[in-house]
Amino acid sequence: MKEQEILDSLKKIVTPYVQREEGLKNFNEETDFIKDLEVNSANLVDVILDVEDEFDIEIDNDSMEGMLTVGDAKNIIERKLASA
Amino acid sequence: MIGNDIIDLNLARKQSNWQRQGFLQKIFINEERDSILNAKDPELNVWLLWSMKEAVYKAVQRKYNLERFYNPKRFVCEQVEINLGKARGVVCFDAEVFEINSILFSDMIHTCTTNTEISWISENKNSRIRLLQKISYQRNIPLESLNISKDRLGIPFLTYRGDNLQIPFSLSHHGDYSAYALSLNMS
Repeated sequence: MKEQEILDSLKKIVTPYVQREEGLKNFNEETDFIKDLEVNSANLVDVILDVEDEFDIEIDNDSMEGMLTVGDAKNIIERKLASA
Repeated sequence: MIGNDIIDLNLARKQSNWQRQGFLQKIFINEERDSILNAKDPELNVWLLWSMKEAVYKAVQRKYNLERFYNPKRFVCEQVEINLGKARGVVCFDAEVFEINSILFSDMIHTCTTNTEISWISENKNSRIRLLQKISYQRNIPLESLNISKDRLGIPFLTYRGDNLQIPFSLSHHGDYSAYALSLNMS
């Protein structure tokens, strides 16, 4: 899967939980789920569950621990897809 | 070190479906899930335990200057007792144990670590200014010289004319509510 496809798909997944719409305009790997998009911390669980469903992967606790930005999420997805 | 967390239960209901497949498994260990599902009011217990984890996350982040991280299961709630609109319990983080107190209302939960000396819950978003007013009064410092800044890790600190006052505090807001917790004896 191409990087851009993963990013597009992440954007679609996270959009329903975004509380700061401006953050979506400049959606890139640096975008921070909590700081830039103001996703609330309980909804980060939903983002993770949606990512698991979308990519058919399992995100373990250790991977989740460092999932703060879109880039973090993309790297985790790529890693999981590669080892699947 | 101090940490607090406030949850607007009406908003939590709108924002999250805790009964969603996999939701509880991602944030609670088995023992926590059992206690939640066996409780008289599972929903209240979901958000009570979540607020405990969040409050202690803030406390340890401040205590150890930790980079932000997201690992709710690293915070384990134990000995949770709910009684007459109040709750108490402990949260274990790695080998360390933090005691917490919570206040439960029909539409809101506020949790803070027990070293909190002064806490304030507000039905709107004004806790930041309330906190500054409190410090101003307690320390006899003009309000306009006080400020709240955030460090590189996102941990807030209080300044007087730009100098860090080293006063541990925690602010939280959610929906219609906000709150602060404060310890003036620096613990």
